[in-house]
Amino acid sequence: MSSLPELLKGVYRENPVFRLALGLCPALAVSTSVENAIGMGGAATFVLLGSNIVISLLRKAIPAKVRIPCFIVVIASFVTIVELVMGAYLPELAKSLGIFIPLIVVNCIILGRAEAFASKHGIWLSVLDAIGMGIGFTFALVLIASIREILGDGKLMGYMVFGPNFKPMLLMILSPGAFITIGLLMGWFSTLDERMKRKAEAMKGGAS
Amino acid sequence: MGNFVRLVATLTLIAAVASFGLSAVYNATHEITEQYALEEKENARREVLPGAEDARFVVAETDSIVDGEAFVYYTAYAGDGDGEIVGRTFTAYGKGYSSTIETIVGVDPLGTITGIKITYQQETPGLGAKVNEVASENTLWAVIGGNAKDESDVRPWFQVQFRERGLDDLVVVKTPGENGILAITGATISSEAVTGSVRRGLEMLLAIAGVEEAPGESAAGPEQDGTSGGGDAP
Amino acid sequence: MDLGQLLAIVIGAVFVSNFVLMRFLGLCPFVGVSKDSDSALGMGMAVIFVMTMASLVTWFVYNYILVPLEITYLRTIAFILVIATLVQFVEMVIEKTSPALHKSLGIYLPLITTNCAVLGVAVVNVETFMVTGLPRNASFIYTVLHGFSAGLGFTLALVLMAAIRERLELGAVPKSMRGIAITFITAGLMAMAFQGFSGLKIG
Repeated sequence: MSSLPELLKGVYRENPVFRLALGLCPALAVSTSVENAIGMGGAATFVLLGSNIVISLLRKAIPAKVRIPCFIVVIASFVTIVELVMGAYLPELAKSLGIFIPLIVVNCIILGRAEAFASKHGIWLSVLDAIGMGIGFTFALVLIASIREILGDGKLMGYMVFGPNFKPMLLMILSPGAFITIGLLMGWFSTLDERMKRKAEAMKGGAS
Repeated sequence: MGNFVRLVATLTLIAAVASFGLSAVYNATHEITEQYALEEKENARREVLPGAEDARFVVAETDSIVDGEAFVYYTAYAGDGDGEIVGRTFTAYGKGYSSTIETIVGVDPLGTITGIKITYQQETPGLGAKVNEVASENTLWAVIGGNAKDESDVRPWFQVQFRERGLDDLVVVKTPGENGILAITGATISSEAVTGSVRRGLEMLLAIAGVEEAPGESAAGPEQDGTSGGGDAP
Repeated sequence: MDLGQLLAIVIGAVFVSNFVLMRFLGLCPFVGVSKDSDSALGMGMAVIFVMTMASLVTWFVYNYILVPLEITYLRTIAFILVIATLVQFVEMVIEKTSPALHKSLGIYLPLITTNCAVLGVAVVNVETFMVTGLPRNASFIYTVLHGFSAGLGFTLALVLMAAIRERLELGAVPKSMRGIAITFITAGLMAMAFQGFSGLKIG
């Protein structure tokens, strides 16, 4: 397998949030502001990277029957590291992300990649997979967060976008706005897919 | 049987390594975390009591319960030795919409609030969280263009309202211009939580620590010891 | 500890702060298992049981193991291992008692381990009831009650969604919106309805 596609697949073709429907809980909960989205994306990528590396290193040593509990211990350890380090060096971000930091441990992306990829491939590929998935996850989070923050609060990264007299659509920052945003985005990606497929078909048909 | 032992051994080994690793990280970080929390509180206390930048804070723990927590307050003495009392601070706990809001309140010796600082809240972003919102004049474009105004010492407008308020003013109102604390639009619960908890804390503080008489005026508030000169802390 | 406080916890977890629609916990099974009402109900029951038991067991683990040994920073690991074990156990029980349900739940049953709602409720319990100054027996009762109510709220959202999706199957949904996209829009509308509970104040 060549390296670059492995890295990029996590961003679009196999985007964990929009395609694989993984990591939905943080995608909706933490996307109230782009700052939080980037923070969560970074934290999750760190855990993903760490756990993919360790699990890939240990893949021959872990018996299949206890692999899930072993994976969980590894992942939970990295999450605890994030909890402790963030608490010490980025306390404001830790406060904003709240309970969703420990919840990284049940982010299906991480366990999913450990099971589906890291336990079956070497370190280098696992690293690429982790980075790609991490970027894809962060990208999804930032996309959702930008929409919600701009429309729902009139701000981006905490700074006003439309000036002080803009009356934001509060719904976007509340729970329903999250669901609607991600639903529409998923529908949009699906349409994009359809179009690309049709184009590919048309080109194939034209070439023969 | 051997297989079973191998399963258990692997899991235990991984768990053991994890525990060692984590306790190392914990030892490296927890002092920093605790230090930050302490400093945050201390900085907040100095911030809400103007004039207390160099004061010496003395804690007084009481058995009284306010809002479910034991009431603790700090007295700020100017300079060293028994200097005069600059003011007092306490922490108010208010049940908000989705979290318990913690507020540090500064009170001058006359029983008037000198300032508040909300140190913890997990209210709804865009609504209750506005208790911490700073009315910024900078837009994203100004920041990108490098023309942003320095707003590092602008305080959240909701909290600034509490300055120079006495016990009677701590009522939530919804229309600007009315006497009281203006609620955040659409976030009455959060506004009430902060205002109510500050009021209850202030009531308790005045009852315990009393209030000075301003020169030429009679003591304000329904408390016992309205003495003049240095106040008294039990 | 009074009835009002208990009622506030139940109403809070089921309606005002519904775990799925307001707190965004438990979304993977929410979109995965809500295709028909029967498996939704079965899944809901399993989750209620796991969440209640998890709240109970993690209460003991936190107060009698983590706190005395001063290793509360290991709570994430400890809790998730407790939950994984519980789910294994529930899976075995369901397999024995109702193979049909076991079959229809399929992969989603072991996935309750990674259901953010279960670990989520354990963590919320710690933050809300165990690190504050509540007396021991009150914190225990509130914790278990909260776990049960949170599961109840999850089941309510799940069953409602299943009922709606069963009818949506017959409707004219645009091709790109079918499946997960329309489910999220529906969830958004449900969340709007539940948002109406936010003014509810008890006690």
